[in-house]
Amino acid sequence: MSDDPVKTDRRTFLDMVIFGGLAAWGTAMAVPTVAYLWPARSGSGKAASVSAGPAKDFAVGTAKMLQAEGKPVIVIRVSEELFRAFSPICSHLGCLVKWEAETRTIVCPCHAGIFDLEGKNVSGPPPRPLPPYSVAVVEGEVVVKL
Amino acid sequence: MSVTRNLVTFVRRWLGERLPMDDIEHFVAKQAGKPLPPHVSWFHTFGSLSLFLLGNQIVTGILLMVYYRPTPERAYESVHFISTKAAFGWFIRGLHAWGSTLMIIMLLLHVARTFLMAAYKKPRELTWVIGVLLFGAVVTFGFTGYLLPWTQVSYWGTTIGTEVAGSVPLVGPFAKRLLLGGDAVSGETLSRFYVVHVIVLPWVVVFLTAVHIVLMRTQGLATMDPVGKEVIPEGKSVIPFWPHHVLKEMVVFSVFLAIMATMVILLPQELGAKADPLVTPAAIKPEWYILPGYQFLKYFPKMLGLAVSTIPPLLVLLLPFLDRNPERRARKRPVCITVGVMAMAATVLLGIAGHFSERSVRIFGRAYQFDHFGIPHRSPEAAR
Repeated sequence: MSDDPVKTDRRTFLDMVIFGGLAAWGTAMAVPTVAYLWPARSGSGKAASVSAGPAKDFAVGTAKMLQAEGKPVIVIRVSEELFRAFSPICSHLGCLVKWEAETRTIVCPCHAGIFDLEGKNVSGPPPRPLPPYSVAVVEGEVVVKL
Repeated sequence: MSVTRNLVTFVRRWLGERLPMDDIEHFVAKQAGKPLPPHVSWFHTFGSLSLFLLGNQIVTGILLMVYYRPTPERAYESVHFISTKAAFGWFIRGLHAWGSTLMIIMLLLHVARTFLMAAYKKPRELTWVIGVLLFGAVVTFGFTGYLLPWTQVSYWGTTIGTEVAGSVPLVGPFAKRLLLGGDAVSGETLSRFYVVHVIVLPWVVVFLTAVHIVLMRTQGLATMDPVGKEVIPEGKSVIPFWPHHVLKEMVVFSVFLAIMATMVILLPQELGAKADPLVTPAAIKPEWYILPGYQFLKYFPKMLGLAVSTIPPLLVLLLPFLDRNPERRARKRPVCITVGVMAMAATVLLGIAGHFSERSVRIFGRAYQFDHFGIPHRSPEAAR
């Protein structure tokens, strides 16, 4: 192996500088492109709340599906005093669950996943419970905090 | 006649003063006269049929774009308008919808023919790799186009498809958000899928197809001789590309177009209900060509399943580098053919299991409930 230093002439050096500059430009332009394609955050960013209507019109053992801030919400009247609200997006593959009054369970119609009244996954493929939302009756109105 | 002859002579002279016409004519004549091996048969038309279908998709796609509106408020209505009001709109849409399904079928047949005749071996490894990438691009074409009519089935099928993509470790959530343009399928997703479907993928597919064809024309069609012992076809037994093979392809195109038109008329693609983001229909399934992969994932825990599911496509992509046997005739490659045929059978079985899973089906008068894994159980309730 020779110990002679590798000689770089002026033209080769300039070629390398130009190629390096082009590569740097390409990388620099990729940043705004990816940032542009990255989805902008939806909603106001503040904690929002949504009404599920008057409590007196909400029969025991029934459910309502709402949409707020672009997100779906399922509200269930479990008993006279108790309401529960969840994100109805199934933790398996993103289908929307529905309330089954007969069995008092929350069921995913896509792959027969079953959740209990606390949103816990009890049967089928869903790997996680449904994320809960806090729900309260404020001046006769059922209000879900997102 | 003399006017035409004079015009041709004028145009040829005019072009000849500006372009190397002799070289171009020599190149075209060489390509047209290229001899094909004697084993070339009707099975060799699957590739050109796929090309014909790509042309069909481009032409009908451009026509559909005239009336289609890619917004959640108008997408369904515009497709409905195309199907019911625009003159021959139902026919154009039917050709596009059936064309996408048939294109994937033709590509699968083309891949199967290439595998069985070992046409992927040296020196055609790169042609195979480009072909597999092309198949992936065409499946992505189907997936992005599926959402565009904004129906219940397309909306929720896309939701499931993007959830599967999102469950890939590390990059999955990032890729899913980028694909969806948010947290769920919405107008943002429709815009993104539309842009990818009508701008990005056509360029990708046309580019890959061009490279695939250039490689195929440069290297010629594979003979059935072992690797390194290929004899260039010559003599009376060879088939000239022009006119014999080209005319054979034209016959196939004509028959195929007639079959397609019949399918469009007798088996119309129903539009179904408009997408409702608050109601998921029961037992929603992805498109048939995604079903085997989708069903395969059910048998493994999520992370393991996604790791395992990357192996079959990788094996297919790298097949020319894994199969070192120089023989091309099927009976001289028993191991490769057995594994390949078993893999094809497994794919079909997975697709069938995926189709029937989570459904009640009556077989010979008895009701069966197919569970999540596609295993049938006697269903006394459904039997009543």
